[in-house]
Amino acid sequence: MKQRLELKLNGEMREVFVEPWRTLAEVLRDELGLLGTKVSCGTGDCGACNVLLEGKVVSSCLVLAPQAQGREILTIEGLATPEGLHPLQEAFIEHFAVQCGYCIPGMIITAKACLDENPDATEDEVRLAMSGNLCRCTGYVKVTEAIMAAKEKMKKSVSGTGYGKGR
Amino acid sequence: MAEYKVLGKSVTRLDALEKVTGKARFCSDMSLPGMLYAKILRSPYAHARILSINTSKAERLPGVRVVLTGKDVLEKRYGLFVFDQYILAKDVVRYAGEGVAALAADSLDIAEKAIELIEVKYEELPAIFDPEEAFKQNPAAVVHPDLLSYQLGLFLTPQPVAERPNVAHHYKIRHGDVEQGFKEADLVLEGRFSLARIHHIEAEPHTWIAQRQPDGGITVWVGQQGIHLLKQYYTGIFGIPPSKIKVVAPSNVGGSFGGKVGLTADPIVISLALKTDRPVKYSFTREEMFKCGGTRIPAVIYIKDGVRRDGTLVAREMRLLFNIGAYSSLGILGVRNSNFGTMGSYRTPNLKVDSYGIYTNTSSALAFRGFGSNEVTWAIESHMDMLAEKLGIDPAQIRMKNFLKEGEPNPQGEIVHSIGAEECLKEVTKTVEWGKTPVKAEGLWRKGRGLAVANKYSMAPTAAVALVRILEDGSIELRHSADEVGQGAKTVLSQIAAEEFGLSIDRVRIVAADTDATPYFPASSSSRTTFQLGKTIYLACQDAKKQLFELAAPRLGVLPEDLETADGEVYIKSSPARSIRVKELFIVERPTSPQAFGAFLEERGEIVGRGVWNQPFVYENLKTGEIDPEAARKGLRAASFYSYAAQVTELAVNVETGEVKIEKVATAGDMGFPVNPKMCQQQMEGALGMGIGIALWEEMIMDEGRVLNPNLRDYLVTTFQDMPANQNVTLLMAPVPHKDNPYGAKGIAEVLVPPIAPSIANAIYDAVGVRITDLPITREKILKALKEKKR
Amino acid sequence: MGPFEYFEPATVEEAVSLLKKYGEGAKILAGGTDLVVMMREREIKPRYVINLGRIAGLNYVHLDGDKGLRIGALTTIAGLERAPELKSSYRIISQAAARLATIAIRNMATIGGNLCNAAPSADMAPPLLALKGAVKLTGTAGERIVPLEEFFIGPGVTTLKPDELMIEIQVPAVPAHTGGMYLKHGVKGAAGLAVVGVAAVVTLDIRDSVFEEVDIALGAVAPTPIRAKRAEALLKGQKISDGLIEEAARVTSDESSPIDDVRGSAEYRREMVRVRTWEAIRGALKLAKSV
Repeated sequence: MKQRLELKLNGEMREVFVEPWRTLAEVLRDELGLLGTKVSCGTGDCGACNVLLEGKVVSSCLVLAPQAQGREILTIEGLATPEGLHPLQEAFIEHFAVQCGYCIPGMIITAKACLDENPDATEDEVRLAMSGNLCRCTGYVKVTEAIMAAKEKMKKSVSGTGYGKGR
Repeated sequence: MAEYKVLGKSVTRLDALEKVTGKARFCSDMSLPGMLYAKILRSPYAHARILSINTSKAERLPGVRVVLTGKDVLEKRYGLFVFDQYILAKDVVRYAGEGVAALAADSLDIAEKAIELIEVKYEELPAIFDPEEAFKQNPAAVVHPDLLSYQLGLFLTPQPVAERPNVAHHYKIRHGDVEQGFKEADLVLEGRFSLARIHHIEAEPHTWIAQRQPDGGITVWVGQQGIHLLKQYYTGIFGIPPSKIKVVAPSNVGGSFGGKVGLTADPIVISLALKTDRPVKYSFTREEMFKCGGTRIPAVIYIKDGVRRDGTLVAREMRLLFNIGAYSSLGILGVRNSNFGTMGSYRTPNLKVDSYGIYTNTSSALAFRGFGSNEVTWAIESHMDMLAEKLGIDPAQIRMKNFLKEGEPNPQGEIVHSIGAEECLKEVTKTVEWGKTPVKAEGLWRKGRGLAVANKYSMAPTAAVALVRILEDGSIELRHSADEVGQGAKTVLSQIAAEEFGLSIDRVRIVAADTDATPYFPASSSSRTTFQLGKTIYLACQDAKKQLFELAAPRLGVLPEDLETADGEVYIKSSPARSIRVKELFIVERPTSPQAFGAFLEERGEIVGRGVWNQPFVYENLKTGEIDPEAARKGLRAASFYSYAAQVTELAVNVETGEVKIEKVATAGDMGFPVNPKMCQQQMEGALGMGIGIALWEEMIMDEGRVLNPNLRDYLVTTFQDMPANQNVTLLMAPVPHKDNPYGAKGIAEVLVPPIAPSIANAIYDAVGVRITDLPITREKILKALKEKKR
Repeated sequence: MGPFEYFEPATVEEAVSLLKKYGEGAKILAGGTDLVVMMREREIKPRYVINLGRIAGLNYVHLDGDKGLRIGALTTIAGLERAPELKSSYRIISQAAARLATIAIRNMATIGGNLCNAAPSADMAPPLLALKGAVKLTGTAGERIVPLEEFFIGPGVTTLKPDELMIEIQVPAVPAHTGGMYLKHGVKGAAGLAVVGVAAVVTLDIRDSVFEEVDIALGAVAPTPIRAKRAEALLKGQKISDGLIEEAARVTSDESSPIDDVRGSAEYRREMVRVRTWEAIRGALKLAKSV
């Protein structure tokens, strides 16, 4: 029953053979060893498993593996470049946005999608875009602060390092 | 205050980098070669007799390796305080979600399929869900008819009540004479409050991997708190000697909030592992988290207060009815520990408390952030406002009037030390300009503000051990058993070691919690880690430094007490230029000697500093809840310490829909000394996020013992959008140092939650004049109360 | 989850023939955000899953002057939320889309899926009902167009035959001076599923300050999304007044038939229908005046 699945994963072509009822989250974690993507609720209600599919944020626990066939996926592991961390990652560290950390990969991925789409997002817009990502530790205060700080950094570095849109 | 280099500074969290890059590993990320996957069949009925179980179809499914039912597990019951539970149900199930059969298979798919092939026939029994119904002398159902014959744990000695068959534990306080107090009072007010069943919603579902060892022992990797506690529990249940049990917590646990303290599926997973040579992994699904992963203890609280005209509290009587579920688990501890909350803040000359742990046919309760304090604080802090209103006194004033003061005995008889209640309240009221009439909005959205104060004990008895090794490059290795559940234990404890050795924090290395490698510490629960392990690490550092100075002294030609260390050097205090590098004390090159392969110290081999702290304490008298006055005079305490918090909430209520918007919050916390101020803020903000949800909407909706909303679609937690804007969240530090910690530090994580709900309830009353006494304060309840008020 | 056999038809015809072949044992996957949850929770165990996601040409929003609006059934909710075609006359559709679940869900979930799943609380149903929308279905017996009002039969049940697919949503042209508003009342904020959803679309006779046309639709307060026809009739042709709007809100509330469930009691829901209808009509009116 296994089918060939090809993904452009974090910029690299990957091939695996999986049953069609595997979710993208399972493929990433169990087949490809990318354990940064977490599964917390399994019903698309918490955002912990969020990844970018063709640049758009999706809950990978609700995407069947074949739905991702041939498509581009970005996970938390693909965010940093050899030159360094993504501004969001830096800001999450600097602003103490991290506690238990289980929700953080999904948070950062969603925040990236939010800022890619709306580089001038206001605090309210950020809160709205992020409202599907649950965190029980932080109360979101420092996470919001970190995203707003990263926004400024990203705006400055759009032309330079290639951290802006896409990837 | 001492000048610190690392302490009191917002040092970057040591775990932040791995967590933002997705490299942090949790138990749920682990797998071992040849691992089996477990599933558990759970009862759909709240109370039923098991007539038959047929596992043959499941056993025949290829890939299924072990199948267990109640017949196959240990004969005896286990428990943390009352031995009331079988590993898998035998004959009777007592809550919907109780394990009836378990299996392990080659894959999760096979396990899921196999579990559906097990056939169980039940005969439903009358069940009981409401704690007040269950509390009756002749309840409609008795959860444990043979309770009085059950074995009881020695710690805390549960006190069942013969004439109330569902009561597992009755704990009392009898301080002074409340009847006399009520006679002397100018106003006597009574109230009833309740708290719904809520869940911790830890981000990472509980996970275990258990593997039988060739020597008959077992190794268990847990995504939980308290490896040494667990080891003790496993020994007690399975009779495996502690020397053959190894419990490991991977370096990160995805949240706990009390939900990962104690036992849930552990005995089942270990039972499976003991029947096979392959490791067995089990994770709760989110649904199982709700159904059998522990909850906060739902409670009904009766309170009766007597006060003088000037607001002086003269008598307080409380009856606490805790719905501990079908198995007592940690519920017994909650019943006892709730009493600290009644005693920690206010001078109460006459206090009578009856706290009951009541069995019902619902899932077991576990600890929850603010354990025992949430429940009594909800009632007391709502009631303080109600008293203030009746007396025409400002809510802040009535509290100020009654706060305990340093040096006086609290109702338990303990001499009060390090009480920050007043400081916290002063800080928040000053910041929000309390007393100036706030703007009242007309129209649909009415505004109000409310305040509340809380205390949270940290439990005693309690002890901790820590080891500090000096490594050959002058770095420090810490061995302690604090679990990193997100609270920041790694960072804070490393800051302490860095400070003591004058090192930057990146030169402190931590050994992950592992009962084989890290020494005794019960669990990073009860807000004890910074206070207790902080002290222990301090002591271990002193011990290690003493040894280091003894080695270095002859080399520098001085006495050990003339030395100090910083930046990997030992120097003479009076002339710091004269120093020796720590690494120079190690022998690393001796080509002709067998020791050439590693660094060591010529005489001692290596330096291991040891710190031990066994909290001096005294047990309370179980008849009165009081402690021996003589012991109290000597400074012995019943609790390890108390932390304090106060909160002012400003909000708006929509009078047509009952919606509540939290607009502005000021929180003050007394953590003794903020070792890492930003991380103290993290706790404050996190508590706020959690507390708002608990106050306004969080509830496990139950029907006949079944959870109707066991998912995050219908059990809603606070999101980004429910929080006030960042600029409207004010966080204040009101530290009152504690003498038993070298830096004065106390835990802060828990105490921040209890004041939130009553401050919100008080603000709602201020806004629209309705008093909601049952948590959560849903839109619907507000609207209903508004309608009733109009009539 | 699983096992099941998985298909990815390239055309509508291919999909229909697969449906015909596998009948009741087959489930259609559009965005998957409802289906995968149901399969994971083992509420359903389909033997065949037919993913429509690779069929080209079903993802569009066409605005066609007098003919109105056509939306391809595979258009994602996020696509509707952002569609420039839905920024003026049909704003109510993008407004409802923005209220549906989370961004990660909206990026996958489709309009067709939301309607065919037929949850009483489906956020896309009230605005499309209030806009007098219809759906285009296709099956072995050919195409048919069903007014949305007749499409829903009960919770999770529609007029779709086992071998039929929804391919398009059609909305008639909106006259001048029309405004629409969708309000979602949740357990808290707009998060989670609707406790009450109200859509009101109002066309105004500006000269006489008269309600020329009013359409009110409700979600989560009946076995299916419904229209509040008595309230509509009460307003239609009448002079605008606060009293009349209040009366219409009360009547709308009477027309709802909510139940008690985990999200709220019937009593509270009826009350919220009244409050939110009042707000939605006034909001729609304000917009109608401005266009």
